Amino acid sequence: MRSIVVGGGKVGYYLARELKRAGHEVTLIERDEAHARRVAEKLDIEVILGDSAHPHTLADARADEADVLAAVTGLDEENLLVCQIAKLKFGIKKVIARVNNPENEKIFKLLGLDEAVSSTSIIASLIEREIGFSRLKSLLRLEEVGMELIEVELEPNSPLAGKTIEALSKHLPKASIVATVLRDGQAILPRGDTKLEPSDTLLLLAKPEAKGKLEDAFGEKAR
Amino acid sequence: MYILIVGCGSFGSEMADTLSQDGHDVVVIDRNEHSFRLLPAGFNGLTQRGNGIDEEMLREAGIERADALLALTSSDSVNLMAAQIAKSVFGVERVMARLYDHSRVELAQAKGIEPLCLTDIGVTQARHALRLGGVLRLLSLGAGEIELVSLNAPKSLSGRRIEELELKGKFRIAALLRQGRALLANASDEIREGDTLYCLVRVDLKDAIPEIFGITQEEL
Repeated sequence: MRSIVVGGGKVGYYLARELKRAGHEVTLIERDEAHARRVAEKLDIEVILGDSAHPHTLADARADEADVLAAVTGLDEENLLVCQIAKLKFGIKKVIARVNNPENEKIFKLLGLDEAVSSTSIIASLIEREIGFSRLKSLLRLEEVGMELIEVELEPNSPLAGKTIEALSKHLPKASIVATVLRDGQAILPRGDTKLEPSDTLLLLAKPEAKGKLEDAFGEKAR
Repeated sequence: MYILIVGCGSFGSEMADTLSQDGHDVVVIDRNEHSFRLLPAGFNGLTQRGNGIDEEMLREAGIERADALLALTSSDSVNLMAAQIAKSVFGVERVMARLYDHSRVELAQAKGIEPLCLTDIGVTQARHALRLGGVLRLLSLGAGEIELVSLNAPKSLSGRRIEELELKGKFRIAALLRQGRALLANASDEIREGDTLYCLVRVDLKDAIPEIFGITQEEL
């Protein structure tokens, strides 16, 4: 795979390094001479000094042969422009733009860039995944009504197995309710006397402020 | 017209003031409060501090009812992004972007933006002022059907009358520059050495001017 990385700041440097390690042929474009030199000294890749949004620079980087271009400078408008020029003039099919301001993620999509990567959103989803380690997984945020749909998977040896929904509810925060129990691919609408079984998946509706207490109910303390 | 101008540098501020004096409702936007000092004291439009690529700020500036947006900052990429937001997100009818780099003209056009390429305009003006010869395109009319071009009258045309060189519906000498003064071309006027000719030409014939004059390319 032949990749072009635009921007030799921290993100560009590490991205180029990882791509190189993964066996890509990488060319990095950077407009600042000191930055470009630093990358060239540290990484064994082709570094081109120039204005990335200029077709000459992209031609020097053999953009016509590239499989993918990632624009990861600190300026959203530059990233947008480079990606659009790469698509229009060089026909690069896969272009990825870094979005610095999360507000621009939507705009980039509206303007025809399918791959807009926002570091803020990535960190947010990582945190989300961290929360997932304690078995709470946010499926859907219903922003207008301030509710969240949360999935909880019970472990095979969960101490909650055998308890009824009614008994479980005593341990759950008020601003939450068990909406559905998923068992063997079937959805069960829970009643107070519905008994939980090991490996059940619960779908809960909860207000955001209830999440901390839900953590307690399904996390270490509940075990 | 309700017009938004992004960028209050020397170009943006001059444009804002001129359009405002022409009677349009103008809002000029700049990131830097300082920039508004470039506007004259009597400026009649509104100013708004903010980033021209910020959707919310553009909404506050009234982009939803704007007839036109001119992106005139010193950055091509900011101008192209602001212009695309105006066109694609808000559907503003007339959207122009100031560009320095000619290589971005094609992208702008592909996105429905009217490019104002200062480099192209400057190069054309300078070539015209230097009168170095050749056919120079000055203006494209309508959707490009007719062009206004200028050229130095070659020696071999001296003494020919304007009407002899007209091709009905295709080519006409409209004016000439003689000793630093411009004259409307009359049918019976004779061309002199040293004249600059301003011609209207149908776009498909713009490369055929030597043939129309019956001269070689080198004589131009």
